[in-house]
Amino acid sequence: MEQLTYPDAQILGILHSVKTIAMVGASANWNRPSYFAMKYLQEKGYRVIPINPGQAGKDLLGERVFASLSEIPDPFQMVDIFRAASAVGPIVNEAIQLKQAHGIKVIWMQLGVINHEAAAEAEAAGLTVIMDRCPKIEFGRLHSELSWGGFDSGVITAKRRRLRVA
Amino acid sequence: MTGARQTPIFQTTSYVFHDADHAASLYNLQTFGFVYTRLGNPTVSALEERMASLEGGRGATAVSSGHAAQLLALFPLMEPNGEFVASTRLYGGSITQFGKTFLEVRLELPLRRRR
Repeated sequence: MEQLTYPDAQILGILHSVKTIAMVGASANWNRPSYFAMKYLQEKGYRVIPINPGQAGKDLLGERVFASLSEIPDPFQMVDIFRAASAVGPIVNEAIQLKQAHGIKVIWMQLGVINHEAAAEAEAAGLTVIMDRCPKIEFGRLHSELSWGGFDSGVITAKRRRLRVA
Repeated sequence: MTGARQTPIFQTTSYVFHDADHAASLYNLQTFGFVYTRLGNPTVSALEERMASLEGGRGATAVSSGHAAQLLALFPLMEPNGEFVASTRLYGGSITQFGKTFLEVRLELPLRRRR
């Protein structure tokens, strides 16, 4: 699979500016990755609104589940897509339609999800697009939590740093 | 920043859980964090990340003995009737571990001579 690269500063900028995330494909199954990501992001202070037609009307981790983005009554700045790449097109089109009304800024496709056509349409509509990444992993990586598991976060360096004096 | 040159040594076995839900999240790997020092420790993970970074790996696992490292690295690759190829010039403890200990867990692992 192709390697997409995004500057750490861009990812951090998104994670620090977004407050509410619509998660398309949020699962009610506690051992599914989308459930993990939703729970983690909530713990980090984000409001996560789950989108899952099969669970619409039910509650998931304290939030009402909606069948589609257009049913969400509140503003959200980011759409996190936990769906196959082939299902991304209509979701992005819906997000473009709702962009002004909801204040959507970012389309984020999960690990393994790459759809260049949909990304180009979103970018043409003024949305920022991240593909093939997980916001949970990126948040953890850039805040040194991924390091706790012995993973290379990519943020450590052998270069001498100036000691900051308070 | 303390300015300490050395990484601190965290001499703890256990870690604080804020509540039962936090503990559940940690055990379910739904959140990042330490659970028990045998599974993860800040001093050890500092070494692991540096090793991974130096070697260009995704991550690393550090353990406290060579035998443990060999077991962790090789066990997932071993299956009954599989072939296990090792040099006879290895450290004696490794030969013993491969030829005796691994055999005792009923894996058939004929040691092949290679020079």
